[in-house]
Amino acid sequence: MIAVDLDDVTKTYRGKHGAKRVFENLSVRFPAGSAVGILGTKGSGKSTLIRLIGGSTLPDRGRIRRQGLVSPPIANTRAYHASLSGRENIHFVARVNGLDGPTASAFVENFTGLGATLDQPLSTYTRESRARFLFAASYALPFDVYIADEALFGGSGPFRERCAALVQARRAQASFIFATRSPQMLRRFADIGGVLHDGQLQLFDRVGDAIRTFLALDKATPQSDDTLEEDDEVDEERDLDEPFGPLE
Amino acid sequence: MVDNVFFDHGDDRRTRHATLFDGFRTQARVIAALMLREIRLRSIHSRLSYLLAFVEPILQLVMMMTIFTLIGRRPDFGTSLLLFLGTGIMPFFLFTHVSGRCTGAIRASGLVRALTAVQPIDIMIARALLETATLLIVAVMLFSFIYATGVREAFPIQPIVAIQGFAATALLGIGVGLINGVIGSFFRLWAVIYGVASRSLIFLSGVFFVPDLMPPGIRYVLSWNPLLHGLEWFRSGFYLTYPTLTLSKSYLIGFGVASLLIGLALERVFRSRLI
Repeated sequence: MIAVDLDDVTKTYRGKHGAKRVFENLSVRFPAGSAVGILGTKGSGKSTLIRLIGGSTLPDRGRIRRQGLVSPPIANTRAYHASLSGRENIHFVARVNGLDGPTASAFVENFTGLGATLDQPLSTYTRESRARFLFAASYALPFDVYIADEALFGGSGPFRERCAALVQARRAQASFIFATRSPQMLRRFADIGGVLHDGQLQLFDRVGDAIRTFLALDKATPQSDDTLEEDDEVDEERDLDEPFGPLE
Repeated sequence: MVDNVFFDHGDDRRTRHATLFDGFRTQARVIAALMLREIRLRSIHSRLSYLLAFVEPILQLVMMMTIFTLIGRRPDFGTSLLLFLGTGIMPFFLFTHVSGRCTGAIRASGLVRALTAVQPIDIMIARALLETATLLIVAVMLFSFIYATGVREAFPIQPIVAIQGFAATALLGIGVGLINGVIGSFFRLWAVIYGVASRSLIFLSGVFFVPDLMPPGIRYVLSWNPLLHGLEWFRSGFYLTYPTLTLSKSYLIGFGVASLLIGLALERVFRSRLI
């Protein structure tokens, strides 16, 4: 069974400094029921790949087929509106996907212990409750495939640990595709390892092989030292600092 | 695994191949969700603020009535000035509101490719349908009110004709709205330009006059305006003897369908760049 199938995908980004071809004729099949962790250095196209899979950017050429429901990237805020309450935002995402909203918001309420805060506008949330809300809400709906760009779990203190346990629980029920720069994350959460390099994705049945390949590539590229030093927390925080989308 | 397909309905949608019907069902679900969200977002400050959407067109009509009564204007047709203006202004508002609200729809929603299931076209359609539904409620309220004041003609003598006219005007609004939606996501200024242009149509669409009573030369020029035909169609449902020499239903529907197809084609061509 295939969860997501990328067939001959080409993607070019038009940036300020001209066009950059991120992928050319990329074909990958992500198996259903396993967690695929993708390693890649900065600028290797990890985020683009996750966005292509989630449909938040479209390929120039090629097809992307999804079996079942694919989640928005974990802790992504784009679907949420700052002036709507946490509960209303969850219900909207549930409704769009044809899933049960009240069950999901009840789960978030229990899991985060946010209580009455859940009925307040998202813009009033504190940093910690915002993080808790984003991660719990991401796993509250029964998607078939969860995707993540760097941030798989978050929050602080005991919540952080419970959130990591929640990821493990979801791994038993659904497929995962996540991109990261940290080999540690692969060891913890992946069944299958992948290395993204030069616009091609190589999958390894053993996570250890993926990590070895990645580290070898990483040594070969000179600028990569500082990127490894950076903790995945940095990217996580970057995601959380994003506003909840425009206010009308 | 095979057993699951038969016994577990939860697994059904994962294993079965998607059909065209599934596609429509998904789209309907997405559009309904977007409409509910839009209503909620418009009533952020107070639960009652969505009422403004209903009150606003009526207030504009009241203003117009006041001015016309002050200058002693008599209706071009029938005995009630309120009904004559009402039957003109409702299709006019329907068209300008539906086509105009689509212009900034994609950007305003903040949902550009935030969720796999939500496509830009759904955002535009959701706004257009919500606006149509709002105007339908306003129209029912308005004509019930006029009826209550003793004008028996406010209940359309040919309800089907009035409904057809309303629907055809909505089709035109949605078609032009889709084109606006695509243009609007490239040029922010388009909302302003189109807003001014569409509002000035009020003088060319027969809100204040009966096209058939105009001189032939003017009538010919006016007849190119598709919205005028929407008004004529709608109005002819209310008055039994309303002159409909100018009215061309096929022109209105043809214009509506053509703009709908152009809108859909533009959306397809620029899909990856719509903001």
